Amino acid sequence: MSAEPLISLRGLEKRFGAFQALHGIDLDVEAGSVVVLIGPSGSGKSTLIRCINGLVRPDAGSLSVAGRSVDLGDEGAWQRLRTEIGMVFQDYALFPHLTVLRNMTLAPMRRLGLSRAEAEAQARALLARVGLAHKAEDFPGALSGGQQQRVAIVRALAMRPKAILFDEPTSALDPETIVDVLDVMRGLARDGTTMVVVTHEMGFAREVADRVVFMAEGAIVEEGPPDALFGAPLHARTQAFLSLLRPTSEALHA
Amino acid sequence: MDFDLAYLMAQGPALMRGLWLTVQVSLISIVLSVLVGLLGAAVRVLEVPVLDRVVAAYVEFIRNTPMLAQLFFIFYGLPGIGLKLSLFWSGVLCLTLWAGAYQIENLRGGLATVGKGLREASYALGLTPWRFFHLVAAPLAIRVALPAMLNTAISLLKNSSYLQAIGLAELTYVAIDRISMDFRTLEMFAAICVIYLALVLVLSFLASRLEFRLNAPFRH
Repeated sequence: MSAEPLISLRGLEKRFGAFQALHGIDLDVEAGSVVVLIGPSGSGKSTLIRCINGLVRPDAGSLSVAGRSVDLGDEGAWQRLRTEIGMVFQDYALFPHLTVLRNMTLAPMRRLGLSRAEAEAQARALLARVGLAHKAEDFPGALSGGQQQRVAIVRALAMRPKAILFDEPTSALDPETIVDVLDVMRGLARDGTTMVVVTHEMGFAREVADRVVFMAEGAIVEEGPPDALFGAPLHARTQAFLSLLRPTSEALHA
Repeated sequence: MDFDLAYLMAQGPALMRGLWLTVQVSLISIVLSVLVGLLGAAVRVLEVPVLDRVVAAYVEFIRNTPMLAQLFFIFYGLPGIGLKLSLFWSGVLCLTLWAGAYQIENLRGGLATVGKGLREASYALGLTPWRFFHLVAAPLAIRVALPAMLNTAISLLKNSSYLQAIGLAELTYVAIDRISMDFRTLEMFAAICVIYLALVLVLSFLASRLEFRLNAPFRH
């Protein structure tokens, strides 16, 4: 195995009009590792992970995935990249007019060229893995938020991605269902899935992350293994952020 | 009071022939105008360069000129540049272009309700903008736009009576033709109003069945 990171960002910049959302971001994500991005609202975490699959186009810098550099201006290149990198959103974003099964077979049939039978067999196996095999024929609106998010995770997995990006996957959920979704994510991490996770679940970050990255004002302030970053943060900015969170952060530590 | 039912019954076969032509020209135009609406709305929403301007100009032109003038332009004007269509297809073209412009706007309204989240989710799965449009956005937009789209279809059906002005022997043409010979205005106009009403009720019923079926995913 090569030591080269699966995802590598160098000097990434993003502006929205006069607002500089990202300043010269350098980030490496090793294959099979879990990188958790934390930081206050507006710090650029969601913008950063959207730059990894081109939902937000970086203005400058470079991105390479699995050793291939991505031409930032080429929509076709982004579209190909997106079949290799999955994404899970805060609001699940399941297609409400399609059954759970169709949600999961649509892209694999259109983009991976799977037959309907192959795509459905794969979808049912993935649903069984997250305890939702019995929901295959239901429409998303009939599912709880936690169930929808688990479907969204396996919908991303159905594309057999090299990595999955998570944008605050539990922020819209009630505490009971958060546990189910985090369990699924722990399972993925154990299986060696490469994950980049934006979250406010500090318990999850501490337990599952290989590396925690703290962002503020569109820049990476510091990063390191969870024990170091949570236990002995170097920067005052990190210390201030963590001290605000600490009273609630352990509550959901499963 | 002099309502001659026997006279009306005798006109039945002629009215039925007119009705059949009205149904044909309207149904074909309704289907084609929905296709125009979908294509035009896709071009507008996906912001296809140049074409989106063309579509916007087309919608403005249709909305701001009388349908009768559009009809005369197609039937009497276009032959001047070598484009000669039959009566029937002139009628279909006129109704399709007229209603298509409104269907574009109806669908644009529906598309505005499809959230950015679903677009991002589609793109994140590697789907192209066009696939997002026809697999996700359009099916959702049609559900929202259906009542407005039905209104446009009803207007199209009623406006098919304009086609008598170029001599297409649809329902209204048949009535006027008979009146010019027999002067039975009361009977004939009453008859065609009842027939148009019945047609619109059938159309509304079909649309409500469609709406019921399309909304199945949202009933829990």
